[in-house]
Amino acid sequence: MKTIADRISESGIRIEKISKSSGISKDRILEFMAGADPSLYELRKLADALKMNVSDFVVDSGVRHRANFLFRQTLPRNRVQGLRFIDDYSRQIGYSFEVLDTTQKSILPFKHFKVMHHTYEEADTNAATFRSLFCDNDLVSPLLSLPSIVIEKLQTLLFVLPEQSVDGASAIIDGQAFIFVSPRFAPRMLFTLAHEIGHLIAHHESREEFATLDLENQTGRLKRSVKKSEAFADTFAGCLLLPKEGVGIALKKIRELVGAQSDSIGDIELLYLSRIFGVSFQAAAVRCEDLNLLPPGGAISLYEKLTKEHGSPEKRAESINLPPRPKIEFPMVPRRLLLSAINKIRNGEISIGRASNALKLSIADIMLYNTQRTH
Amino acid sequence: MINLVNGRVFDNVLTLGSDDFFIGSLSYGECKDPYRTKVDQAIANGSLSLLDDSRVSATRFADLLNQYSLGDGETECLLFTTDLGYSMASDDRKARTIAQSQAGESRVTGSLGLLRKAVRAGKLSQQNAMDAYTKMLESGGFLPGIDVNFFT
Repeated sequence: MKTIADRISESGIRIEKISKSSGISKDRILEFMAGADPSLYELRKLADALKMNVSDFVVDSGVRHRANFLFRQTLPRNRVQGLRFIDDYSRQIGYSFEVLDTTQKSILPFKHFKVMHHTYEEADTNAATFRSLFCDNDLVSPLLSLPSIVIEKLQTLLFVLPEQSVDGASAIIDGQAFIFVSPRFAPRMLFTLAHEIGHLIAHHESREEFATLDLENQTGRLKRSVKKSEAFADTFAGCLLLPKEGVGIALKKIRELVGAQSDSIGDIELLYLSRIFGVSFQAAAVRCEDLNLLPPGGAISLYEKLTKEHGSPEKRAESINLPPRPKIEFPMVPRRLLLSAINKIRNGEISIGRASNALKLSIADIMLYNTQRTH
Repeated sequence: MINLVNGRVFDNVLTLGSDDFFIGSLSYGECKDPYRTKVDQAIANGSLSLLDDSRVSATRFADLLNQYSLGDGETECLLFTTDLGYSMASDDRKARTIAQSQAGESRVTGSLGLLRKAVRAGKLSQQNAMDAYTKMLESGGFLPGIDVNFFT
């Protein structure tokens, strides 16, 4: 069993607080930390207090352990305590391998990408390659279906996990790619997803396992990160979601629609652009800076102006009655994982309770999917 | 339990009279509505009781979890079966196989076994049981193929 001392220490929660919320005396908790065997009741109360499952004290597979180590390596030493999301992501990776049908192991389709220097040109070329390979060579249209493209064509397991302090994360473990996105404003999630794809294509050539974490507000920044890999992932995301040709065509039509007279692009054109391509105002504005359609610093200036005068770009869009944003669907569970789980439950290779833990679905929900599979 | 509720026979089975029925705290925690409400009602009317998990060791739970990789509720159920002599009711194929190997076939049953018991006790007709089975399947239950003769 993973020691209770480890779990308490990793949680970053004080023993007094755990004692209060679990109803177990501080002395008894100290006994557990010294190695005493709790009853299942006591373990359950501790798990509740730490907002964990009882199995979190137990299951620590090799894969999960490796993923945990790789995620922790991406952060400075003084920041690795109390970061529950690392455990959550690692656990999800470990569970996924239990559920996946390993006889149908996918070969990651990343060999067509090449990233050497993390330059803008490389981001642009790789984004075009992505569209050519996975979007029927469509180098113009919005990519609102990127989540399903990632799952179906990129053979990547995409999870939407609620983690307040993280925008997203990605990893390649044992040859399987994973992307985690936190639930937020859908356009922001779409950009984070594209950002994580940027990380995956930039790292795949190392042929080693890797993991990367993007803490809150690290993706889609108005001011590019000084870290090359982060700046590359953001640039790649911009190139992928807002392709040069598509932006050109869209802007021409938008300017005709709004009767734009000035040579320069204003907030209204950008708000339209952001809605068409399913990204935030900030992402559209930064992309226009990259394409020299806005002067350097123009994105920040326009964003600050809209925030000051209207509260936010979205409020400004509502005030001028722009059409509503198109819906962007993020599946709750990767279909490949779900189908594999249902087959394994039927064959007695995994139990429905374990699959429920792995898929973060209730047992009743898995049965509902089984109904759809059967009929 | 979910299958019995889906088959609209949960109450019939719990009032068989020949057995006492229990649910573990972890299994209870895994129940979502509308199943949770049914369980709460059964606990309130005394036809179902919560198991006392202060009687079992967490280390033993961890050992079983590591060894068999079942879900938390299933492992808890297995623990009470192997260590405290309870019988186990589960429709999960893997959990049943493990429990049968550890406790013997006679101490493991499932929804269909309980339905058959209800038929034999005169609580349900064979056709009632078959109808319940059909409803369970239609609700996504992972159950084996049987015909009405199973309930004789």
